[in-house]
This record gives sequence, structure tokens and C-alpha cells, in this order.
Amino acid sequence: MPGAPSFEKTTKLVGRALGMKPDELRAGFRAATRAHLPQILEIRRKILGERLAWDDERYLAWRYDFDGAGHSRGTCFVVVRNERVLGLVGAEHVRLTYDRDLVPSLLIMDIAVDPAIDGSGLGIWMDLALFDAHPVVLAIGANPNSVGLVEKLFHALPHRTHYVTPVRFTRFFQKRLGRERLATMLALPANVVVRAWRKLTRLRDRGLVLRKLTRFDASVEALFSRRAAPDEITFERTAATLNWRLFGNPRARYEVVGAYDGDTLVGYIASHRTARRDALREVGIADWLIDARHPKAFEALVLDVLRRAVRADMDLVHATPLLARSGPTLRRLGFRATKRTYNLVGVRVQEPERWPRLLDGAAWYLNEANTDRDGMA
Amino acid sequence: MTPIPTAAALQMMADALDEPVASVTPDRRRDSIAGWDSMGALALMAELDDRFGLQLTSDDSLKMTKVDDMLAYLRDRGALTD
Repeated sequence: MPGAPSFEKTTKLVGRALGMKPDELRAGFRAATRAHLPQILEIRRKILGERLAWDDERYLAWRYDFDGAGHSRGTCFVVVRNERVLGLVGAEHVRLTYDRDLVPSLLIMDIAVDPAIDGSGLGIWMDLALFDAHPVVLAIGANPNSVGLVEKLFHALPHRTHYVTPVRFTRFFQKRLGRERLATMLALPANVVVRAWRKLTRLRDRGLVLRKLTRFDASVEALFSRRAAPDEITFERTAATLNWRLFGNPRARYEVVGAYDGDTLVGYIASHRTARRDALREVGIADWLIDARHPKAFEALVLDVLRRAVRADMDLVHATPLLARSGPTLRRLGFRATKRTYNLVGVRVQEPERWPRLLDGAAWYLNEANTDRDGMA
Repeated sequence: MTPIPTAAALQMMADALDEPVASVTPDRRRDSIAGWDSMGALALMAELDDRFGLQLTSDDSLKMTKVDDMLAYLRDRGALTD
């Protein structure tokens, strides 16, 4: 990694910048408890400002296990000096499928440093401290502040691809053309054609029954064991983690639909609605899992999302996976692929010779639900 | 401390910031150098510590808005020969 000093050297430099001995800095790095929450909220308020458009206390209490009660698989790590929180890094403990093993890994999410000590290098140090303690660390997505850090500290996997399709053209054309009357005229036939096409595609659901899920049970774990492309590296899905992740989330309300062959769950898809700054209404597909014996379930579930989006007067539907094999189906269903700067994916592996495929982007399946962008456009 | 010529200091900065040396010129602004982010700043702190025993603080680092500010910092501390 060009320009990245060693952990030991960084500990010395950052400790010096903060007036702490290296041992003090190391000892000050710990899992946050409920008592740290007010200071964490204050730092996030300072950094996020007006972008903080949700109940952050409720969100963080859901996201991270401050009480050690085990309700969440997230840990918020903090650096504390004399009881003052200097910075924080949020992380989720996940297990990655690798051949027949499950590799314990850490997904890094929010990083924030008190603006009063900006420039101290504490954000980098916290990353290095986590690398030192965990065999596999992931970063999925970045923002303008963190993109350089992710690029320099992690092995780059391919960016997740952003697929998007319009489902109603009126507001979409208005935004593109800026002329309401012309947009309405053009949108009318486009809406009719797309609606007719989607109705025709209903035929493809034949043989499967789609049902809304309000809770996952053991059937999703059976589905996980029968999933398509089991050699791919992906997050382990269990009923407990999916229930926490998709149904308990205070920042995003997910709709989850299961595809059934008789009584057997052969696929699910999770989506949620977001409002963009440009007033277009969007449905984001956050996750899916498909039975290897029912590959058509993916198409049926995506079409169901599209139909529900039309009924809910949405404008666009998007999905952002790292999964090359999903491209042809999504394109056939009218999605267009784009690359976005901040959809980068990085992995840091202590022993790459032990898990060489972790460095191979073609081996991965990741999705939006593997990020912390819930409810954000 | 062994002082170095300005050209060597620019090369040192380019290496630390992972930028081509031709793009690290005295009048170049910090915000126009992609590599001079938090990681680059830390790499520079490490380099100054190793080569000259200089303890560049985060405050001093943040005040630097262009390459010439770093050269001035080195010159003031006797780390440049010219």
C-alpha cells in the first residue's frame, strides 16, 4: 500500500498528535457502551449536519450492540481519552461463505472523528487497529471523505454495478426534459407500452407463488443451503440476522417477498422505497437469494418489485449488486447498468494465501443490504 | 538531521503522497493533489519523523494549503540545503 505507514508507526504518530502514549491509545480503543452514546451522537451531528435526517439515537441503538445483549451483530468501536470520545468506527460481524467454510469477517461502516482533532490520522489508525485484530475486513461503499482511505487501505474488488430502470415515465421525462407538457405527451405512450409488457411478463410467474414475508424462519436457512452458485463468496443468511437486518431497521422499511414452489421457499427479494433529492421516487432492491433449482424465481421476483413499484406510483427501480451473473437478467428486464464512484468494494485479508479467492472480484456476491445505506437515496 | 535539496524534498513528498513528482510543484495547491488526503498527510508525518526527527503536528499539517508551505516548514527547521 503506497504511503501507508505501519500500524506501529501510525500508533506512534497518532498518539503523539493526540498527546497520548502508544499504549494509552491502544487501551483507549474499545467497544462503545450505552454511556458513550451521547458523545457519539454529538460527533455524528457535527459531521453529518443537515444530512442527518433520521432519529440517529434509535438507528444507532438498533445498529450496534451497546449493551452486549446480542440483539445486533454490530459493534461501535470508540477511541476514548479521559472519558471523552475522540472518534468512532462502526462495524458489523459477518460470516463469509468460502468453499465449505464460513469465514468470520468484519464489515466496516461509519467512521467519524471529532472535527476538533481533524488531521490527527485517528480514522486511519482505527482502521489499522481493526485490521490488526480481524483476519478479514471489508469496506463496501464510501463517501467523498472516505473514498481515498478505502482505495489506499484495502484491496480493490470491482465496484458494485448500479442497475436502474424507469417504471413510470412522467416525472422521469419532466426531470430530463424540463418541459412538463412535452414530458407528459412522451410519457403517455411509454407508460402504456411498459405496463403492457409487464402484464405479459406475469406469465413467467407460472409455477411459483409469490407471498409477502413479515418474518423469516428456518426455511430461509434451507434456501441458503440450496442457493444458486454456492461457490460464490457471500454473507451468510440466517433467519435471525435477516429478521434483524430487514425487519427491525428503524431507518428503512423493507418489503420482502418470497417465491414458493408448493410449500418450499425457493427465493426471496427485499426492497424499500426512497425519495431522491431530485423528487423522483425510487425503489431500491436491497437483497435476494435464489434456489439453484429455480433460477427463474429471480426474474419473477424482480418483475414483482417492478409491478409493485408501478402500483405505488414510483418512478424508478434500482439494484446495486456485485454479481456479474445477475446482469443479463436485469438487462433483459429493462435495467440499464451504470458505474458509480462510491460503490467501491475493498477487502483486507491478513492471510491471503489461506483464502486467495477473497481477492478475486468475480468470486463475490454482495448486495445493497450488505451496506449501511438503509433508507438513503 | 541531514538536510536535503529542495528537489529531493519534492521527490520525498511525491513518494509519500503517491503522486508523480512532476505534479508536486511549489505552487500546487493541496486540495488539487488527490494523494494529499488524510492518508497522505499521515505518510508525510511519518516521513518527516523518520528522515529528520521532525514532529509535524496535525495543526501544522492542516495549515498547509500548498506544496510551498511544506517546503517553508522544512526550510525553517534547517531540513533544506537550498
